[in-house]
Amino acid sequence: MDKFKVRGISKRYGKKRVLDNLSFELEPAKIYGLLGRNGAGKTTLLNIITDRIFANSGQVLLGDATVAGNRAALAQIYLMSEADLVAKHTKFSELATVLDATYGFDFTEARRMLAGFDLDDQAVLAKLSTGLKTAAKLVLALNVRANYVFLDEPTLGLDANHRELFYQELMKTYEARPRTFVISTHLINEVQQLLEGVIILDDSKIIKDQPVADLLANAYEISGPAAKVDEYTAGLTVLTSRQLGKIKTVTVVEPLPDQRVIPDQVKLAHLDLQHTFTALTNKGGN
Amino acid sequence: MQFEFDQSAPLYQQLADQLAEMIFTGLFAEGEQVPSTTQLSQELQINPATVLKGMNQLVDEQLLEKKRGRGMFVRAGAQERLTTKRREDFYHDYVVSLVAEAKKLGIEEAHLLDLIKRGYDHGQV
Amino acid sequence: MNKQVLTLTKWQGKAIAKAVAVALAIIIGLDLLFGLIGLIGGASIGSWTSMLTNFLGTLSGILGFIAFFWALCFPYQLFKSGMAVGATRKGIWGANAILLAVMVVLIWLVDLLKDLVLYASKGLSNFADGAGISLATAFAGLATVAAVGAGFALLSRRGKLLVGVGLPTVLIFLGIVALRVLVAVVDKDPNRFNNHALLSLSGAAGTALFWAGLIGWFLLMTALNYWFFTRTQLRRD
Repeated sequence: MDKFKVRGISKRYGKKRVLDNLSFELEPAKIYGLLGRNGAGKTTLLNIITDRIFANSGQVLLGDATVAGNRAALAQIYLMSEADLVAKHTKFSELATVLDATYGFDFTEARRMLAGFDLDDQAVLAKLSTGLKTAAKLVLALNVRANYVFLDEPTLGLDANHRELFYQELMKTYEARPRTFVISTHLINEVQQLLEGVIILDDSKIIKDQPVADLLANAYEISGPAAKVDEYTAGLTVLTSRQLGKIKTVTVVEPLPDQRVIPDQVKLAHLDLQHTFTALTNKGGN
Repeated sequence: MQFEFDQSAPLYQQLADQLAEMIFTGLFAEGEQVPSTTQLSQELQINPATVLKGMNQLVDEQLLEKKRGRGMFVRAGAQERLTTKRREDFYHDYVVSLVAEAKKLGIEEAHLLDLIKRGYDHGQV
Repeated sequence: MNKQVLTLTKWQGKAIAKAVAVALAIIIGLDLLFGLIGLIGGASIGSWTSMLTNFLGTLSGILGFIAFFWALCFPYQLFKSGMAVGATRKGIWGANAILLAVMVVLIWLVDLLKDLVLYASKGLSNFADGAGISLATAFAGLATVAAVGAGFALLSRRGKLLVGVGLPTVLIFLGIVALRVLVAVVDKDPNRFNNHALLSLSGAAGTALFWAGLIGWFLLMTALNYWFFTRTQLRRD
């Protein structure tokens, strides 16, 4: 399978620069998280790399071929968008049939998954509640035979039970038919264990693009007496800082100096992905 | 499944450690099959690559073995291997912190040895 | 024709067919209703010929209206639907073009049928010319509307208001002015128009120049339509 390459993508809306020279690569059959605050440009990026809107500059490639207007490439790429694009009266079964023509579709599996969400294939998408509509769109996304599947807010409106079901079905289908998934979500804690890689978008730029394990291996919360904490973190980029009386708690996301000894009353703990993300994207923390 | 994960160590490491614990306590006996990558991945909702990494580590440590087409099984001698390893790690994992704590509380070495003796006499271990 | 275009065509075609069926059902239903009321009131049933031609006339009218409306108002919805299922812009355009072409031919056939029924006495050779011209004109006309619709789809909400409201207003204004000038000129010198403009226009019908112009216009509109489609993007509003 080919790699998915994004090179130097920039996008402006009027004077506002939404995406600034973004480059990254996606490998086949891996699950990535695409994280960013509201307005960071995630949906714009997803729309650009799936050829729904045009970038001002840059290229999107699948292997060596550009994706734009390329039928073969686009048949490998699927975007489950947050927006409702199809006509109001469209039924699930209609969509499945049309998707089958472009991508190939797993009708049997889809029916099984629908049942899990208490839906059937005659459902009219526009008439469903937000949560069930998301569930239906999810079932479509998990059953198209594309090698790069992008999910934009796949948990919108889903109740806790359905979210768990989604994660289970995702793992199941990923194992049965390994392909790349890119999940863009705000529920970072819930998906942390599902992801292999993570790409963090902040303020029109990519600030992190690495395996989750690597990122978290260097994500720390350091707390203790303010003076000792300051001494220990001298020279490091402190992302956030809180103080409770004499106890200061800071976060850093970088390797700690090996040779520096951790002072006695200073405690070190690893951050989870959500806290790492908020620390990296909090403005006014520095 | 009796798994509990936090941020203390990489996920694959925690998974390997907890599986090893289950082997050590005999929950999975030697020659018995352990849950597959698929099962663990779906049940725990963890990326299969992570699960595989953890299990491969146990294979490297000769605690698990892959039987073609049948799955992962606890290897013969696994429990013994684990016991040996834990014995080696005992000093570092338990004694160091015990002595440090005792020192903090001002407990003398003789007193500490007395306490340990009491533990052997009264304890169930 | 590839599978994607075919599937898209079928998909969108079904939606249009439903719309036609509904419109037909309503209009025929109303016709029947009023006919029945008329009967009760003492009116006589018309001949079969007139009923059939009425029906055919209604059918071609509905098809024409729907084709016009669809070409003008639905390109963006088509685009969105296409995007949702991974189609390329070319593919979407292709499906759209096929459907419009089919509709034009259908309308033309229905019209032909209607004329056949009505003027059974006329020889078929008389048809060929007029039929050919009306078909070509229909294609050119619908292509124009399609190009306008696709261009419209490109515009933002504000652009739409500007063009959608502003342009007709300007055109109507210009039209009134032109009409007044025309009336004034004709008034002054009625003979002036007898020779050139109108005569040559009606004489032109059927000449090579006329055909070249028509086909050229059709190609231009189609090219514009295609170009607009390939520049369409998903909008945020």
